[in-house]
Amino acid sequence: MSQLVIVIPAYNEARVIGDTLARLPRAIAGVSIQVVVVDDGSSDGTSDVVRASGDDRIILLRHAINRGLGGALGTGLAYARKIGADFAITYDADGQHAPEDIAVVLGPLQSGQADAVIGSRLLSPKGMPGYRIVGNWGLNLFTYLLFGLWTTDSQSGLRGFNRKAIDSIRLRMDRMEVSSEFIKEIRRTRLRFLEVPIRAIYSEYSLAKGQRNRNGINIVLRLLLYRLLED
Amino acid sequence: MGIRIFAIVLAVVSLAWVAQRFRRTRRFTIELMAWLVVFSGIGLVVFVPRATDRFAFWLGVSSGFNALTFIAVTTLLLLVFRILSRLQKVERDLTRLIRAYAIDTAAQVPARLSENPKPSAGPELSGEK
Repeated sequence: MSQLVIVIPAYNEARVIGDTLARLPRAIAGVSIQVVVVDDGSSDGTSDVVRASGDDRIILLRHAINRGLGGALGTGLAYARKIGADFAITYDADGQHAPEDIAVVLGPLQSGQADAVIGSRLLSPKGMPGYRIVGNWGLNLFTYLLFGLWTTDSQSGLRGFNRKAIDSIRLRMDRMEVSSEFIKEIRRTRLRFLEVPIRAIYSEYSLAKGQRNRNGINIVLRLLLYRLLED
Repeated sequence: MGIRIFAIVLAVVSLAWVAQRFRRTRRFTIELMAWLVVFSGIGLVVFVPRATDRFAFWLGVSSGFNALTFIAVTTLLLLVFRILSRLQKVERDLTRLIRAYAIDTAAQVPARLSENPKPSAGPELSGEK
């Protein structure tokens, strides 16, 4: 049976991570599931909540200090690489993803249609606040101009990779801009890429935690700096 | 006149600092040499302002002041670039270190001892769609 690793980066998510973990699918046909929670230096007891979940499918990795979303996702994927996982799916801790969308993202990977799959909230952006749609399209355009690969949701937190992608993707960005770096890496390593529509569940909590348009400006500046220093 | 006094004081204090550092370490490093050149240059420009005109002519700008501003801004930009570059490397090394430690100390969550073997209430899903 193939092994799927669900990577959940978490920074100060004690309030919601218990619920997020409890809602994860118990089983998906054809894969055994391991959940990797990367506690990115939380100070609110996120790790305690994860431990208290009592779900022995969960592996807890703790960053001694906060390294950002990119740092945490890089750690989760490095772990997946280390244990030789067949598939890895990144999944936000704030409860904005629908658990059933994990199978939607995994499908094209299992059938061999794609090496990397992005769950796009903007293929059917029902319920997404207008300012988010505008901000996301702006970042999509900017990501395309910098890295040359078009996607309708460059900032999506729900992404899937097969083993080829897990082995070849190398993340260098530590913060929020990592979402665009995934797109860059998909292009650089010439992975077969597909988008599938997913549903986003917006709560007051996830809207406050997620990427605000102000963060978008930081992302743009960091991406520009990255291009300047790295390429 | 004020700027001249300021520049002279700055140059003298800085040159004294360079000399003191040399006395302490007994090593004349490239860094010390660079500071010596910079602060001596400041002193020279204050006492012989015309010295920059030839340089300005060579650079193709109208006055010595413009030439100095150009050089100062360019040098500062290069320094910022270099510092950002170093900072990014340090950040990356730090992440690598934290990551290695996190993976080395990975811990499996202990199963809850209860009648229900699987605590997750999530649904069972079919994969391929």
